[in-house]
Amino acid sequence: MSDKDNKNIIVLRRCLEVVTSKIGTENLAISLMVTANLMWPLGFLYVTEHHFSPFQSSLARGLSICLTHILICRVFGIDLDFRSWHDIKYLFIRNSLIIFHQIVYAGLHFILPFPLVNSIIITGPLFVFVIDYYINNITITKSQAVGILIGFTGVLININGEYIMSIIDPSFHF
Amino acid sequence: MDIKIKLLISLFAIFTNFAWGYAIVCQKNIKHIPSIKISYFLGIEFLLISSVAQNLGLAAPVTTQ
Repeated sequence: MSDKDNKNIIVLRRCLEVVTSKIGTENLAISLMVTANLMWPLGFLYVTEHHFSPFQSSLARGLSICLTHILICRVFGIDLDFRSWHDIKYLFIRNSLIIFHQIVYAGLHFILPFPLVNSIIITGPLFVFVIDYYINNITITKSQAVGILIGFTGVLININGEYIMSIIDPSFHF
Repeated sequence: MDIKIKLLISLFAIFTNFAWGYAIVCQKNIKHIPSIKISYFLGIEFLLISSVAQNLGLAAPVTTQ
């Protein structure tokens, strides 16, 4: 049975239509993104506090991803096979780079302060704009450029917060 | 830990961020796979790499600096 005929996916689409008609697609996406971004560092904070190594937390993460996704695919009738070698090649490159990044991110919590790690990590989307511009020739609009500049300035201020405080208040020591 | 080592680690973190950015851009080349399958494959790779690391003894508990 294809995912288009699946009863659960029809119900999910109806639910989404009801929610998006009330709060709007963009608001729903933003609220889900904000919730996910709040939960994500909390998960890493938990494993760091309990001294799990980055590989242990990755093992638990991989296991939970596989189990939840198998369940979701089963409920919504989505098959899990891959048909194109072209796609698999890029999928492998993408996922390998993301795993490398995530293991380093998990390990950073044991070395650098928590706010600093997360300040560095949120610079990632800024790189996406730049790489997309050079690889796919996707132009950066004026408002996006302003957003990148503000974001980068915010990260710089956040990372050097204690240094800035010491300039403002000479009695402050870091 | 020495501040210079922390700075080097921070620069390395920025480099990994760059790699993450490239991975996200790379996703545009994947045409026929829905996002749920992409995440599922990510989970499998997480499991494989972490399992190998666990067997190599890399997964010992870590102390916070």
